[in-house]
Formats: sequence, C-alpha cells, structure tokens
Amino acid sequence: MLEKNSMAGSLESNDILVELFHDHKGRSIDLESPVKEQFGDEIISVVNEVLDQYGIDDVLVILKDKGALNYTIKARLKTAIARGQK
Amino acid sequence: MDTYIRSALFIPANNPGMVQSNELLEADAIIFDLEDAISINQKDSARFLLDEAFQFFEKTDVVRIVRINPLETPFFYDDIALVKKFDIDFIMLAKASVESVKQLAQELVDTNIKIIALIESAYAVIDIENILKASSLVKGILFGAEDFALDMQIVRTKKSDEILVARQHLAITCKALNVFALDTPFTDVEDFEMLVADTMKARNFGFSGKACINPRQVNYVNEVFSPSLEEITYALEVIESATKAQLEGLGVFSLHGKMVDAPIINRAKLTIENAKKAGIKYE
Repeated sequence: MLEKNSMAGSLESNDILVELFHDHKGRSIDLESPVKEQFGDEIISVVNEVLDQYGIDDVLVILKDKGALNYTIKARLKTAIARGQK
Repeated sequence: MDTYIRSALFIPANNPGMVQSNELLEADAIIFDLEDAISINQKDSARFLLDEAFQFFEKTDVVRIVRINPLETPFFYDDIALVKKFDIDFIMLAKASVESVKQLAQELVDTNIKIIALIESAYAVIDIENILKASSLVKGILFGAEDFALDMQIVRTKKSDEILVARQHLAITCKALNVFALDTPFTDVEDFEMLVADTMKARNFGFSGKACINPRQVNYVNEVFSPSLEEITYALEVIESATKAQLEGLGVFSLHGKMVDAPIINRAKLTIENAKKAGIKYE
C-alpha cells in the first residue's frame, strides 16, 4: 500500500526512472523506452511481477527507460515502493 | 593470506552501468561502494540495486568486496543486515576501529564473509595492531590516505612524502600479522606516469595491491604488482640452480656471481607463485 507519490532511478544510460502515483484507481503502466518495441512487454511483465509481490493494485507507474536490465528495473521499482510506503 | 588482489577498483553501488560491466574492467577485485560514492538520500537505492545485481549476476573469480558505512552512521546496521546475505568475499569497513570490527565480526558469525579494515585516521594507524587482532575475520586492510590527511590536517601531494611513515607502518604491521595490505588510491586519474611511480613505491613498501578509482588505472596497477619477465626468468634460474645445489649438498651457491641462499630461493618461489596467480605465461 502506497501512502504517497515517489520516484527512484535516473535518466543515465543503463538506468530507468520510475515514478509512482498512489492516488490512482487500478494499475496503469506508462512506458517510454528506446527498446519498447522489442522489450516493452518484458519490462511491463517485470513491473507487474514486483507490484504483485508487494500487493499493490492501485497505482500509476511512469517508466522512463534508458536501457535498464531487468535487475535494475526491479531495484528501482522496489526503491520507489519503499519510498512511497514511508 | 591466500587472497590475491593487485588492483581493487571502487565503483559506486548505485550505478547500473558500472555494476553490470564490473567483470570487464580487469581488476582483481571490485569494491562496490555504499559509503562515500553514495549520497545520503540514495543509500536505499544503492542497497536495492546491489541486492538485485548479486541475484542476477553469478559470482566469478573476481573478488567481490562491498564497502559499508561506518559504525557511527545510521546506515551501519542496515548495510550489514543486507550485505551479509550476499555472495561476496569481503566487507570493507570504513573508518575501522577495534569496536567497529568487533561489532561487524559478531554479525558475520554465520557467514563466509571476511573483513577488510579501512584505515583512515591517525588513531587507526597507530592502533592498527589491535584492529587486526580484534577479529580473526580481518584478512586485509586498505589505507585511506585522503581521510587520514584530513584527520592530520596535512596537504596531500603527488609525491606522498607526508604519508610515508603511515604507509610503511601499516605495510610492516600487516606483513607481521600475515594479512594483506592495499595501498591508497592515486587520485589524479589523468597522470599515469605518477600513478606507476606511486604504485612502485607502494609495492616496495610491502603493499600487495592498490585501490583504483578509475578503470583506466587498473592495468597500470596490475602490471606493477605482477612479476616482470626478467624477475620470472631469474626466479626460474634460481630454483633450477637450487635444486642442483641441493643434490650436491650445498646450502649456499653462486649464480651470475651473486650468492644465493634460502631467502633468495624463497623469494624466487614467491615470484613464480605470483606469476601463476597473475596468469603470466612464462614456459
């Protein structure tokens, strides 16, 4: 359960900027990525996996990807969630 | 003292580009930094990134070290709680003291992780023997000359005369207590000539390796801390001659007009051992 908006990550190469907006009905994911066509589904699947793990159903997720690998996407999302729960 | 570290490269633990390319940087060890390279409001982010990275990438032969924040910061115990779950070789303890080493060692009881003590204050330099004896998990040190100079209120120079005594004291104490000593990084990342000179000085003092703060420093440092081909050739000659001399019942013999006895033979064996560890082909 998120209590406030939060963000994590950066716009540096190999990174991803994750923004979470808690005042949102349902789960929406907005992805901007240079590899959206090739890996967009996989990135969104990783995000859904982490949100499921934390039981977060009401959130708007905005992702600005700069070529992050899955481990970075998970790490940045988990950081943003932890920050939004404080 | 089996760990072989000629170069130990610092990389910020919050930088995915560097974290994922660390294996390509040719350093014997990587120091994933949770301390000075990470601003206070990014400590959480760096911890999450390392956690995921170490699950994602399998460990290789490159020595994994994580530098954690010192005991007197609010991050010390949170760092340990996470880092002790990782598949790593060492925790590097910033601003090590007898007390902080003991605290850390208690937390690592059920792990295989060993400790590298970061010596970076005047008191730590003179208390080095007690710090090394504070726990059997302490297997090495890194000298942090920048913080040491700050504590001493002295100006750092490229020649490093101002840290000569501290360096030699640390190297000798580590050798006496059979732990490895890593020298302070050379902070001018453009001056490779002075980097080599500074690294040779450290090697001659008895340090076994040196920290690097830029990937471009790694090969220079590795080369200085590796036996040269001339040293290897001479060592092989010494060992061959020693074997013959032993068969003839001679304890001391002459090679190229110089006397060779046990210390020279032992040094030759060490040179060959280090050449093998460095992956140098000499046959």
